[in-house]
Amino acid sequence: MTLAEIFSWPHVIDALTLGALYALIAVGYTMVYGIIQLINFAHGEVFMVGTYVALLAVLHTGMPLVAAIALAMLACMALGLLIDFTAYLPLRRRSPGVDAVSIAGLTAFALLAVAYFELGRREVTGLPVLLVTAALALIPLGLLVLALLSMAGRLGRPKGQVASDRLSALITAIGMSLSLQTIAQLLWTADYRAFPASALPAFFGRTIWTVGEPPHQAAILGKEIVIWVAAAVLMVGLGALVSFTRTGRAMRACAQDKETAALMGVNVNSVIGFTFAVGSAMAAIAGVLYAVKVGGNISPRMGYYPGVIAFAAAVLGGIGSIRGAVAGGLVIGITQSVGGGVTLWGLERLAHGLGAIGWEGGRAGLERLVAALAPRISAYDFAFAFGLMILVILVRPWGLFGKPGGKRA
Amino acid sequence: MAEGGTRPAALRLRGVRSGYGALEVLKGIDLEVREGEIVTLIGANGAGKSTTLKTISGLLAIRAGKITLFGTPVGTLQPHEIVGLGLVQVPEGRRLFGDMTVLENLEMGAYLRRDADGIERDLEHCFELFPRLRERARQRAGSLSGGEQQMCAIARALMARPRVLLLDEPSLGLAPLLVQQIFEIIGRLNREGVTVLLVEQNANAALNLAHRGYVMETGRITLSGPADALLADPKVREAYLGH
Repeated sequence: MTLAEIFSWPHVIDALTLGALYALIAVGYTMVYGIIQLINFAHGEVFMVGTYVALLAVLHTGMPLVAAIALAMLACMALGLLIDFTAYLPLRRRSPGVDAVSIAGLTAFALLAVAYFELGRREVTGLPVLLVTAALALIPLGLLVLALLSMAGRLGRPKGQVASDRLSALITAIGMSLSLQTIAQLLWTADYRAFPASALPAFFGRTIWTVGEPPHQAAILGKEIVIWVAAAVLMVGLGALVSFTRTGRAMRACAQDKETAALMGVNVNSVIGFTFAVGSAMAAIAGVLYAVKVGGNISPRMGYYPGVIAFAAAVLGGIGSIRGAVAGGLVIGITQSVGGGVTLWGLERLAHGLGAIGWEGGRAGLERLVAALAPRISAYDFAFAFGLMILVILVRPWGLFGKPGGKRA
Repeated sequence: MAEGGTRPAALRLRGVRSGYGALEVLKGIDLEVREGEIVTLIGANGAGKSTTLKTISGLLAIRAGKITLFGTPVGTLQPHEIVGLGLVQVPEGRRLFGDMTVLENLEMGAYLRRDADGIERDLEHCFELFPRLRERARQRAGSLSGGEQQMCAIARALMARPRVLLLDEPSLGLAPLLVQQIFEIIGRLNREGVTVLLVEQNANAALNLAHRGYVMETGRITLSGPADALLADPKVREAYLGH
């Protein structure tokens, strides 16, 4: 294998497409982290719900994909706000309700473990499923009631910004993630689905350009160009929003110092809600485009891997930084696409070197390893992505664009 | 100065209690700032001066008592709502947005305002008061010197068009000449119509500027009166003026 083969056009196109999608998801993690130092583990599920909303809209109303994406964005903005309002906002408020909410988060976690176990065994129907469903329905309801109570001041005097226990927030986030996954499974089943080809614009599958020379020629499809352009426009737009608008300034102010931002007249919780909404809208677009790219992968768990990978991208780029999310997304996309090839190439070079210094045994051994790995190495693409993230944060714990010991939006 | 006595109250605290978690810091504060006054709140470290300002601004919840701003109860309002009513605080330690430019910091001060023309005029006014800020408008606020940062923090608060301005230790960490400059500016703002509540450790400078003063000890007001009377009070001189 040569480097030219590894960095051949099909791989490069794949890397850029993945990278663009990861960047769109990563920005949601990074903006929310930048402002409230919370890893919103439910972000991958927002991505999933957005995809379903668009899919169902297309299937049931036959609306054009663009309209379905717009609807998914709106739905996800509402979902993002709801997640913040029910799960995280109560934790930011100073009130005895905080403990109750973290307990609710833990309960959700436990119940969902049971739900997984029960629903995983297909023969279980009837009462257990009913009970689990009822219990699941009660969780968001309970969180909502707690949030409303705490807003009404019944559980104390909510005021100001008090950092609550980070662990409670983290557990609540995981509980939220699993809740949404399980609710999606109950609503829409665990079956894999796809956008019907008839719902997609014809040019998505058409070859727009052909690049490279045979045998490494590659077609650039319409959908890939759509993904690149959408990601570029959205990221530039988001950067402009944060840098140049009044709301963007308020977001940066809250990221730096919420108390002082409040003293300037900023409604801090509204700004945080807005941040959730914007990140969620991005996730909705990314979800639909991801489903269009991959095809046939829509399921309640579809948010997990892209979510985790995009989180890695956000960390690698420097969590809290939008530029970092873009850079991290691209780097992770490239690593995932070519990491295996580069590893094989490196091992081959090494075998070559061992042969050159006369150690035939070593050379033969390595060559056998390469031969054994070659057909399977693409299964390790996520491992390369995470490996790179670990390497980067060993050297620069604040990531590529982060600030040492700091945080930013 | 006695003429303040007839003016209506801008800010009034009655039996205000507040604190952090299980710790009660303010144990029933009565305080009044009348329109057009400069009132200073002096006291030792840990007496509860900053806590008083944080409670007035709504950053800390009021546990008992009542706070009114021009007669409107504000004790249960959120900080941003209180700013909207015209009460603005310059927090202790400047608390500038260090990653933003000086200009962006000033724009943050005007966050709740929509009158572009008025904002432009007030920006010009701030640059007039603090010419250094004009020179440094495009610079990161974090790169300013201590004195410039304090000027920026005061200017940022002015951009909100405050009717009542709370200042928390504006002299902290500044050279004497700068302190004098800052206090002159505070006097000028007051003459322009801003009501001021000034928290200070530099009791001498504060009492020389203010009309009236309150002395605070461990969460309670222990003494109050016209500034010149406090300056002459042997207990105040002993404890806070180093005589």
